[in-house]
Amino acid sequence: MKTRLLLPVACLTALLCFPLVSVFAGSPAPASGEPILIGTIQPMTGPYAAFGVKFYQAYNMAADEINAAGGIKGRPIQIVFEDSQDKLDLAQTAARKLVENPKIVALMGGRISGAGLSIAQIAEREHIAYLVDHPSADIITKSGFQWTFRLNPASSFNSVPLQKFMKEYAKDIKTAALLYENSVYGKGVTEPFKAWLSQNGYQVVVSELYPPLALDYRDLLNKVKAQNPDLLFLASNIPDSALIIRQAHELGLTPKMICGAGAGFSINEFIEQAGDSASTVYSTGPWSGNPKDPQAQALTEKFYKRFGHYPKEHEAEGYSAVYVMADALRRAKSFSRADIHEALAATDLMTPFGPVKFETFEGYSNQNNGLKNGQVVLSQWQNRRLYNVWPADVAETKPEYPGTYK
Amino acid sequence: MRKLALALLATALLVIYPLLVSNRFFLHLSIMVLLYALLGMSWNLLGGYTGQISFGHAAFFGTGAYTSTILLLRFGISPWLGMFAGAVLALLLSLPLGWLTFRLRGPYFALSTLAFAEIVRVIVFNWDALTGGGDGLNILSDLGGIVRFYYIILALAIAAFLVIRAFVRARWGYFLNAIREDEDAAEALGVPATRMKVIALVVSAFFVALGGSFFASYQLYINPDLVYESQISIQMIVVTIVGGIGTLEGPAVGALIIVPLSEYFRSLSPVANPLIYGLFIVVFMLFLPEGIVSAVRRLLTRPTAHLQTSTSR
Amino acid sequence: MKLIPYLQAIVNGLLVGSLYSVIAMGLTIIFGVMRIINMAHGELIMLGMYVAFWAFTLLKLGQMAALLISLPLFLVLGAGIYGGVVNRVERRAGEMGTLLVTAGLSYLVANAAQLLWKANYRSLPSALTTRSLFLRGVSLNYSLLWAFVAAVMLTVVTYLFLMYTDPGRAIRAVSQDRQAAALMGVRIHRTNMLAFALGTALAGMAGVLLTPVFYVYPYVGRVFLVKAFVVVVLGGMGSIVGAWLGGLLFGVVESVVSMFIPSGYRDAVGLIVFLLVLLLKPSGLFGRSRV
Repeated sequence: MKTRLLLPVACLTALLCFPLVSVFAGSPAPASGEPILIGTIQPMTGPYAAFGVKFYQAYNMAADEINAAGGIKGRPIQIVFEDSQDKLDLAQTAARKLVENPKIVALMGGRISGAGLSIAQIAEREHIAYLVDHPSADIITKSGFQWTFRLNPASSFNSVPLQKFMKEYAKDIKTAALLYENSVYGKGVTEPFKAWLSQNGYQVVVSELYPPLALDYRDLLNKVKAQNPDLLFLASNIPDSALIIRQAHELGLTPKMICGAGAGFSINEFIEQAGDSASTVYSTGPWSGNPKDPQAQALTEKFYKRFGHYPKEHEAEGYSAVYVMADALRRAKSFSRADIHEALAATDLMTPFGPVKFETFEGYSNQNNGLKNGQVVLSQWQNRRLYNVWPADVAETKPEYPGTYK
Repeated sequence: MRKLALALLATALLVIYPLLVSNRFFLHLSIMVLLYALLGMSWNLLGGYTGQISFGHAAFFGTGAYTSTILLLRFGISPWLGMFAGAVLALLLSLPLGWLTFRLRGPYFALSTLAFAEIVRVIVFNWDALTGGGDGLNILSDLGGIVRFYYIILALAIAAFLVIRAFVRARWGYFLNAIREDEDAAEALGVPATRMKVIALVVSAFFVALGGSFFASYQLYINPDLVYESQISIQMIVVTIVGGIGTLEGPAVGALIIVPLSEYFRSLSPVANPLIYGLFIVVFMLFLPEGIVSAVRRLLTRPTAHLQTSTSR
Repeated sequence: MKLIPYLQAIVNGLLVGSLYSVIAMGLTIIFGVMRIINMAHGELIMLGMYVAFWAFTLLKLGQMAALLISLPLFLVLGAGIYGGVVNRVERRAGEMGTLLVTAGLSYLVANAAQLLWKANYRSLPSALTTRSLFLRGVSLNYSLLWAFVAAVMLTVVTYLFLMYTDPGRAIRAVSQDRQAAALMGVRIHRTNMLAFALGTALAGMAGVLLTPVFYVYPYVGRVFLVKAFVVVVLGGMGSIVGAWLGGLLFGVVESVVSMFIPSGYRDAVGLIVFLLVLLLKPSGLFGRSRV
């Protein structure tokens, strides 16, 4: 009789001992040892510094988490920031400086599309892997670069959710006014949309390529007001995005829908600077993750807790980029630039931003297929928060249409 | 004779410099010094010798830069040929500028050159299809190593120096000085003021454009702000003022001082770099407006000055 | 043909134009009296903008308070710049020298501002600045309206000062005929300094008025300098009335022409106007014909 009880008792005892054993074993030791350096180029100062701050926060949060959990094979990762002020010549100098440092194993970031392209060219020449997490111009992954990988959607994907919304919901929109900044980004998101509009029977009443960072947009908006369009489509960065919306409000511009193309329209600074004028303004572009996905939710909560504002597209991209790099570093045969490149190419990872896998399709190379994964979304500012509103499967709330811009 | 020997020695040193120095950074620095010497000398012909202070020479610099780059990217023409096309274009561009502005004097002239350069910049910025607009143009081809660039800019600088020297030493030099001192009086004495001003402008535009093309090929990237910025114009002016406005060697001396200092400040803080340009202009205009070369000459030709009692000057 | 967009353009032009007038006023006084172009004028405006911005952000002071702080601050600054730099250089190196040294100052100040306050673009909170009055479909922004009124008041006060006070009359005398004024006992040096100080103060106060309406950043001065030149040349160098009317005219022209050309070329409008005026009527609308 005693022997029959012996086995279950032994198992139970072992089970009870296990937690005690792990207490003595300790939690995973935080990483120590020589840091693995990843270089990044961001606007840390200048008119676009607000964006650089987001990546600074997101990258460091991710790196801190990874390092607290033991780092990569015991070594911590460290992000090395270089300031580009979002100026293309400074971005190039910064990239070259990073590349010349042999301890830097890979590059990421760039922020604006123009910088992304330049960095990609440098990466291709110097044989160092470059992970694009935000620059969106199609050409960055349509030039056949072998050393550049992009996890975020290309510019031409940006307006797709808006197109769907117009076809399926806001069917009374007939005319559109397009105001876009004279940059790779502005042209990259607007020109495909413009083409789609003409092909689908919409009338483009105003199409203006404007020089960014102007002090006054009243004249431009007055032109738009004169045409009274149903849709006002904007491709701008901060501070222009806020200024344009403020002055549009001031002038009494009230189309059925005002929609920005990500960038300056999908960040907290937009609502801070534009205030209530920005209420019911839409933004179409990369998402900040599926709100129903637990990874995305977890990121939202901990980010808000640490920094006091909700992460959106930039923070999600930056945070996920570091995890993609860490994953590649773990799989890499060594920390040489070539091996990291090889490991990065084989990425197949689920991140808060969504699935990341670098594919070749329709002329793109090493591009994460955001269209297939639904990583672009139409969102809207309601009650000072940006909510996904279209398509329905990732919507957080119903769209307010027509927008109330009075 | 002694002067010629010194000049030859200096030239020889400049030529063998890259063989002695292999540090990339120093070579880069010397290329920049030579570039600004070139720009300064060219500006000096119009500004120092003729007294027409132009704030708009960036227009020519940028035109050179864009022309050779566009010819390279679109037609595959080597920038070493393209730069002459750029220089010719700048020359042609300078003609309407001269026509527009030379009837104005002093500050009016200066302001209108500034306006002109800005208009050119705006056009280049908006002419998207040709110039790539705000994002500029990238050169992907390999144009040679740093040593090749050194010799090219050395050749350009020496060529400019010789041409300007010849210009200034001939009768034309006297005409220019006369115009600078008092244009009306010069005209009264038969100096064809407008024609001389135009010639000075054209020559300076030509060489500045060559400098612009060189810069584009060296940097491998240009955009309207980089090459049409008033900062370019300011740099030409600072280098000349510091070295000695209206002297031949002045701009070279100025470049030799300013460029390394500027690079040093750039490494401390990217913002401190342009700040010293302003500082140098102010300090020099306050205390040594004639520039270093002129001051040195003055001191050398008055060896007993310190023995004289202070009488009025 | 819808009229409202054109009315709106004219209204915008007038409102913004009055700001241009104030910007130009200081420059024109300095030029009228001393024949000096202050290339650093834009940077003085920029400093005024930062004064207003920091006064609000750090001390919660409004525009009126900022104006009251700026007046003595910039008067002293102007006197200092004149005595310490401009006067000395003018004596040694003449007109060209002052042009160059003020260009140097402009560069110095703008970059120093970037070093101190970073290149970030700042603005005052939008709740204060976007409310508008609507009259028959034409919108009048409250901030702009207030700036317009303030600009008018500043112009009137300056005009009265120049017309009816002794120092003001001295300034006018020197700008009309320096030698005659000297012969009549006007202290030239002192008057010059006063004019420069006054011009600087007007620039600083203009900056305060501009802060709610435009972004504040270290290089904003450059934009305003160009506009100031256009207005000064348009109105006639040395003429206050000219600066006032020239500003309004320029504002309206810029605004209306923008309706017909691609927005990228908007900045070129002012420059072309500038060149045209210099070519066709260099003395401007109200200035003397001395070129």
